[in-house]
Amino acid sequence: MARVPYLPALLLALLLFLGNAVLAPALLDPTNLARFLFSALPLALLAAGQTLVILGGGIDLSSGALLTLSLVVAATLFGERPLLAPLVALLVAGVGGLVNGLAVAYLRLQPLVATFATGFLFGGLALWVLPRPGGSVPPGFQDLFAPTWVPPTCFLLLALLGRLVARSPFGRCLYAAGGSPQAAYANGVPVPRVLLQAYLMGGLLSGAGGLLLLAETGTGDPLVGQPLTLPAIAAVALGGTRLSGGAGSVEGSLLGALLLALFRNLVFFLGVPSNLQLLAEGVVVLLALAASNTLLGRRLWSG
Amino acid sequence: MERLKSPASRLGPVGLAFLLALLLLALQALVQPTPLTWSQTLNLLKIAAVLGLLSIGQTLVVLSGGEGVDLSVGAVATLGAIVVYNFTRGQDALFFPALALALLVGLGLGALNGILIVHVRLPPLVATLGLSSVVLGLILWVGGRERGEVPPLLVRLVSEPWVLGIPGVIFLWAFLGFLVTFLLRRTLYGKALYALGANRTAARLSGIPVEAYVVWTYALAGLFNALGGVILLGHVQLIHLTLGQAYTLPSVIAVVAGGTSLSGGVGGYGGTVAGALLITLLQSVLLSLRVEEFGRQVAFGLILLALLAFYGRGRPLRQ
Repeated sequence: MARVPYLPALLLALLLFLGNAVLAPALLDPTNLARFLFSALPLALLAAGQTLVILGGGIDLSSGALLTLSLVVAATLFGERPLLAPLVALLVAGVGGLVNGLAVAYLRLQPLVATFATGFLFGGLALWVLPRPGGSVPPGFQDLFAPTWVPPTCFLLLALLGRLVARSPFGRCLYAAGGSPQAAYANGVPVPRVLLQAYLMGGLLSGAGGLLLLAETGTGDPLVGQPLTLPAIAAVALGGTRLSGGAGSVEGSLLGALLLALFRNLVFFLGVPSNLQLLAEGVVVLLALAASNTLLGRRLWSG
Repeated sequence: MERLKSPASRLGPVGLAFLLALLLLALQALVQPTPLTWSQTLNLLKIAAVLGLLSIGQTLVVLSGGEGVDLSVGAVATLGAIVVYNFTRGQDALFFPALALALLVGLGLGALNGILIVHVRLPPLVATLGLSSVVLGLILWVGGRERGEVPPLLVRLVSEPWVLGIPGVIFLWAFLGFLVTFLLRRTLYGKALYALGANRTAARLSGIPVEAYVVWTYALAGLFNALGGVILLGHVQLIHLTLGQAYTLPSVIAVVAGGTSLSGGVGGYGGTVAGALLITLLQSVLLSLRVEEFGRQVAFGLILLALLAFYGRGRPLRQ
C-alpha cells in the first residue's frame, strides 16, 4: 500500500470509468474518448507541474494565472507569427516559473502567499496582453491534436516524463528537499536550486497547459485559467502526493486529474440538475480526499 | 553581538502596516482632485471594517499554526448571509433567531473544517478548500430558489450612522476587535492558541488538549465568518451567490500584511486591523489614479511581494 500511494486514486478512477461505461456509454467511442482525454489534458498538465513544486516542499497558487498568461500570449501572437507564438508563450511561462522560484527559494518568502501574489502579477499581465476575449488560433495548430491517438499519447508521455524526472538525480534531490530541507541541505543537496528548477518546470508545464487549452477552445480568454488552480491541487492530493512535500508522484496526479474529469462527465450525463452538480462534486472530492488519506494512514497534519 | 536595529524594524510589523496605511491615506488625499472629506474617510473605514470583520476567523486560524489557513471564509460568509436573508424575509422580529441560526451554521461548518484537519488529517489548505466547494454547492442549491429580503433592522445596525455620522459597522468592528484581542491576550484559550501555534508538540507535552483546541479554533473562525457575512449583507444590502467570495484571499493578505506569521504563534488581531486598512486604502488609491484592472492587479501583487520580502522571510537553511 505504501509503495503505491496512488492506489486509491487508481481504484476510484477505474470505478468511475466503469460507472461512465455503464451510464454514459458514449464515452467508449474512440473519438469521444479522445476528445474527453484532450479536455482533461490542461488540468493534467497543471497538476503535473504542481506536483513537482509540491514534491519539493513548495506550492504554486499562480499556476492557473500562468496558464492564462501563456494562453493569451499565444492567442495574440498566432495571427502574425504562427511558428513563434507557442515558443514565446512557453518562454513567458518559464520566466513566470523562475520568478516564483526566485521568490520562494532565494528570497525565502512563504510559498502560499508569495505565489498568490505572483498570481496577481501574471493575471494582471494577461489582462494587459488581451483585455477581452479574442485572438486567433490557426486551424493547423488545432489539427495537431485532432487524431484520436494524440491525447492518450500525451497522457502516457506525461506519465513517462514524471517517472523519468523522479528517477533522475534531480528527482532524488527534489524528494529529499521536500521531505526535510535541513537534512537535505546538510547532505549536500542544493535545496534552493532544486526548488527553483521545480518551479521552472512547473511554469513550463502550466504554459504547455495554456497552449493545449487554447487548441481546445480556439480563442484567447484573459480569465480562463485561474479557476483551474485549485482543482489541480485537489488532483495532486487525490493522486496520493503529500502536500507538505517529499512523497508522491506525477503519475498519481495525472490519475487525480482524470478522476475529476471522469466524475464531471458522469455527473453531466446523469442529468443531475445544474444547481446540484457543484454540491455533488464538492462532496465527492472531499470524501475522496478523506478516504485516500485514511486508507493510506498518512500523517499529513504535523502534530 | 546584537545587530543595530533600523527604525523600521523597531516599529514592528504592526506599526509599519499602520504607518503605510497612513501614508496611503495621505497619498489618496493628494491624488484625488477634491479634498479628502470626513464622509469619504468614513466610507473607506466602512469598507476596511467589513474586510477586518471577515478576517477575524482567519487571524485565529493562522495563529493556531500547523500550516493553518481558512479558504472557506467567503463561502461560509455567503451562506450566513443567505440564512438571514431567506429566514427573515425582511421581518425584523425574525432577525435575532435568524442570526443565531446563521452563527450556528458557521460554527458547525467551522467545526467540520477542524475535524477534517485534526481527525482525517487533511492539510488545512485542502480541507477548507474542499469544504468551501461543498458550501458553494449548498449555496447554489439553497440560495437560488427562495426569495427573501434584507431585514431593515440589520441595515440600521450596520449601514446607518450611530453617532457623529459614524456608521454602525465601524462600532461593530471596534467592539469585536476588542473582544478578539481580549480573547487572545487575556484568556486561557488565547494563551493556549499561541502555545500550540508556536510548537504543537511542546503544547501537547505541557498538557494542552491540542486536538480539541484546533477544532474549536476552526469552529470559532466559522462562527466569525458567518457573522461577517451577515454584516456584509447589511453593508451591501442585497444578496448574490458570490457575496463573500471576494473576501477569502484578501482575508489571508490582511492577516499576513499585519505581520502575523503564516507558520503560526506570532502576531495578533491588531496587525490584521492594520492589514485590512492597508489593503482598502491601496485599492482606493489605485482606483483614484485610474489605474486599469491589469495595473491594479500587478500593483497589488508587487506590493504584497514587497511586504512579504520585508517581514515574511524564512530563515536561511544554513542556520
